[in-house]
Order: sequence, then C-alpha cells, then structure tokens
Amino acid sequence: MATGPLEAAARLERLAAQDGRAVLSARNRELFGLLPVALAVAAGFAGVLITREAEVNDATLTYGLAFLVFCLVGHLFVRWRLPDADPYIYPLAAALAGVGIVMVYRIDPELAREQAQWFVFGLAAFVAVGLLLRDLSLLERYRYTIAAGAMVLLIMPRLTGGVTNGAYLRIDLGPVEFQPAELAKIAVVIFVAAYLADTRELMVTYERRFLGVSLPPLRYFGPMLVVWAIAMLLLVFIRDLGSSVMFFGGFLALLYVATGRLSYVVLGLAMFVVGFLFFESTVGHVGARVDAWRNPLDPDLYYALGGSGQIAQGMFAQADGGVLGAGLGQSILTAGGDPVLPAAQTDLIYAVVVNELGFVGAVALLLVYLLFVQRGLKTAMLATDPFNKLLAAGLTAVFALQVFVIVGGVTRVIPLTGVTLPFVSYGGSSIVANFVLVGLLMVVSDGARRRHREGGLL
Amino acid sequence: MDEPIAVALKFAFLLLLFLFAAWVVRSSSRDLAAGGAAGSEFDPLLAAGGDNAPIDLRRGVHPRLTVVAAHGYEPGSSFDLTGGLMLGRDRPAEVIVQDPFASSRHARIAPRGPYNFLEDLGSTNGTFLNGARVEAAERLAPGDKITIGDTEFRYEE
Repeated sequence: MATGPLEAAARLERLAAQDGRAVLSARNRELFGLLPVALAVAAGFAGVLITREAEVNDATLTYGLAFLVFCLVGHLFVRWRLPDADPYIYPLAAALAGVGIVMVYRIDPELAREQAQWFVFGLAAFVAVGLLLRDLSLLERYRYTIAAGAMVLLIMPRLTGGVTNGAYLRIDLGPVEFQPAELAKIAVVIFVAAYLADTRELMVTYERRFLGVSLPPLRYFGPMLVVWAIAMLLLVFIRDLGSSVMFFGGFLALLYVATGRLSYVVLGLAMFVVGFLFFESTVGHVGARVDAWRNPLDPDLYYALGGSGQIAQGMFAQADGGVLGAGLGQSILTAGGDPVLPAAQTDLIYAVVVNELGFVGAVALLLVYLLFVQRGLKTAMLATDPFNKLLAAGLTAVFALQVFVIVGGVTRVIPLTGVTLPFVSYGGSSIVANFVLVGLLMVVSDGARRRHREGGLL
Repeated sequence: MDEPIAVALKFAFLLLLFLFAAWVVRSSSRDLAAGGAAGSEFDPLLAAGGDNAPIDLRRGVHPRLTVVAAHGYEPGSSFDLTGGLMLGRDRPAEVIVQDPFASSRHARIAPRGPYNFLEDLGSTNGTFLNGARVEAAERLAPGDKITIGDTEFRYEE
C-alpha cells in the first residue's frame, strides 16, 4: 500500500520533469510537495465540517481556501527571491500549519479565522526577511543591538504585567497582545551564532584543562555565564520554564556545533541543573510546576487553581485517542460550558491531535517535525560561512527544543510549560516568529545551495 | 458517532500526511544522490574534491605544496597535490596547520580540468594567495605563495 502511491508520485515527478529521467527542479519539487498538503487540509476541513455541522458554517471554510492561497503566494515569492533554497522546508512548514489550522478550526472556527489572519502577517514577515536580509552579515554586524533588544523584549511582560498561568509572557498592546519570548528566541540565536562564529577558534585554541575537563578560557567563559543568567532570569522572574529550557538548550547546541567540545555541553547542563534544583526548592512557582508534574492525579493538586488539572486532562484525552483516534471533531473540549481541556488551542493542542487522530496522527505530526529539523540541519551542513552555519543550526535547535518542551510537557516527560507547538498552536506571535525562522533558514539555504550548484556540486 | 464519510476523511487526512512525509524522505535522499557521493551529506567540500578528481593534469607535471614556514613541518618539505588536499587545523585536513588563525577546515586545493585551484572553505581569518585574500576559487600557478595566518606554503609543479 505504501509503495503503490509512492511509486505513482515518483512517476508523476518524472513525467513532470522534461527529459523524463531527471528529477524535478528544486522549486517544482516544492510546488509538488504542497499538493498533498493542500489535499490533507481539504480532507481535514471536510472531516470537521461533517461531524460538527451544528457549530461550524460554510463561510469559515473559505479561510481554509485562503490558507492554500497563502501557501502559493509564499511559494511564488520563494521562486522569485530564493530560487536555490531547500525545496522541502517550505512544504514541511505548510504541512505543520495545515494540521494546525484544521485543529484550531475544529476547536473554534472564530480562532481559525484569526489564525488565518496571522498567517497573512507571518507570510509578510517571511517576505520581509527574504527581501531585506539577502545579506545575513547585517544580522552579524548588529549582534549587540539584537541581543539588547531580546533582553528588553523578555523583561517587558514583567514590567507591564501580562500574567498567563502564573507566568509573565505577554505584553498588552491595546487590541493585540504579544508574546515576546517567541521573537526573543530568534534574537538570542542570532547573537550567540554571531558571537561564536568569531570566538570559537580562540575558545578551542586557548582552552585549559582543569581536573581533566577542558574548559574554555576565562575571557570567553563570561558570555556563557551571561546566557546562563538569562535562562535563570527567565525561570525566576518571567516564570517561563519552557523558554528557559529552549534558550539554554539552543545555546548549548550552538556551543557544541561551534567548538565540537562535549565537555562544554556537559558543563553547561550541569550549571542548568544546579540552577534549576536550587530554584525548585526556593521559588514557589517552579516547585509547584514540578509537583504537578510528578503527581498529576493527586486530588489536592488536581483541584488546585493552576494545579495539575490541565496535565491530567491532557493525559486522559491522549489515552482516549488510542491508536487511530476518536475522529476529527470528536474530542470533548467543554462540559456544560466549562472547558475540560484548558488552553486546548495553545498548550494542549498536541493532546487534542492525539485524541482525535490517535497515536498514528501523533506519529505523522512528529515525523513532519523531524523532517523539518533534518532539513534545517542539512542547511547548516551545506552552509560554508561560519555565522550562517551556526545560525541555521541554532534556529533548528531552538525549533526542535520548542517541540520537545511542549510535547514533552503534554506527555509528562518534563514539567508542562506554556510554549506553543510551532505552526500548529493558535497564536499570532508564535506564527509570525516561526515564519521569520523559516525565512532565515531559507535565506541561509539559498546562499549555500547556490554556492554548491555553481561549484557543480548539487 | 461512526459516520463512514467522517472516518474516511480522517484516514485520508492521515494517509496524505504520511505520503507527504514519505515523499520528502524519498525525494530529499535523491536530492543528495544527485549531488554525487553519499559522503557529500557529511562533508560536501571534502567529498567534492574526491568527486572532481582525479585530475587531468598535464602529463609529466607533479603538483606539490612546499612548506615555507609552518609549525610542525620542516621548511622545504612538500605534499603531493595529486587529487587535491585540504588544509586546516584538525583532521580530516591532510595538511595540519597549527596556527591560531587557522580554522579546522580552512582551505582546499583541488584540480579542475588541467589546473589546480585554491579555495577558501569559509575560514574565519581567510586564506591569502600572493598577499590577496581568496574569495572565489583561484587558479594556481607555479611559485604562488599561499598564506594562512603566519603559516606559508609555496605551490610548485
């Protein structure tokens, strides 16, 4: 079964290619890849419509169509401005966004309408990145400005006070609210990549050995401490454990890619764990998160406000999904007007996916994430400029870590924290930031692959 | 509620997602295959040297890289350039350049057609050919001076 349609796809690809044997050009492959995504989105919307006729109306279906139009607009832009970029990154992002909009539509059609609007903004951001940042050395040059911007962004919610589930995540800007951590993750990666591109050689050349462990020279150890401090700051003042793990993990990944020294990573991990354990026992909300994670079915924690109820309900929903899922539109999200699954459209959207599409659906979704990460790392491998290489590796690492943090949280591998599932969760900041991330990856990829093509390598 | 159409649509949705993922895996592996050696996945620059080799250098010519000043090598010793070489601070570079200004994969000398070319591999501090920084691949002529930091080589045929 699996090979039949695949063979057909391969034949189609060959037919479309002119000489009958050569593979399609990169951009045509990208367009080809959007085809199954479009069909899946159509099937998903139709499935939700059929089961939930009472609540959804046909007018909102147009937003599904609009989604497909956005995909094509983005693709045409890529053809024009980034002709050599990796042909799989864009369809993979579209597939994730497609799964996302179907699930958000199923949860609340009104939110899907807003999500579709966010796609427009995201696409605009993607186009802006492609137009303005053909030369990524611009980012490298303004590294300190970008780092300072990230710090301000992260501190803002604490000052203006937008509390979500006990964490300071939002900045309220009149009609819209904004989650700065999403954009800050990209800014931090840019800064660390630029910094390490310059100092990695020196870090390794002048390293010392202390108690049998290679340590970077003290001069270059300072910035590492700064990033660690940012992670701890996030943990304690912003109360955002998820972003803390994401930022620091992304930093360690970059450090490893830049220096090839596993000892630095082990050292960094040890620093993080020590910091975390200290704050877990001394700062109330960190400890509360850990308690809810360890004993989600404890009645006291379950009924407590901001306790383990959300985690427990997420687990029930996933267990209920089974292997093949309850079906699109079948999960129980509200009971008597009260939400059964709090934050179903953001934090717990993965639980809704597992509930409705089952283990098989979860595997499909995670597979698409894995492939996205694989293309990101491939882009990093092809890039020759150190900054571009580290940028692609770092962006891919934070993206992967974000998926790990939220899926790990919902499946109770780690304490649950409120980060979004990239491209799938509802949320404007998240969508826009991830489009920027994809834009940057494709700019790096475009440059790297053009270089290789001109060198006759690709 | 087991509406058959709804169930069919769910399976269609899942199947399309899996087909899409399978297509990406297949098509992207061919993308690499089209790039030549499987090794290019891990080190495109290095593998490319092997790809373009060997070497249609003019008969009777023995390209060499002679050490002028390099930490750890005897001045006047030389490397055989048949098939190309990589210069860098660490393995897998064939010519180990022990210089704080050298990147681990710094530069490459590889034949293209009848000539040898010098190419910088995106090093941090650059490779210099007769005092000028190497941007694109440069054709080498006998007597050319190749400099990386304080390390210097001479190209000879």
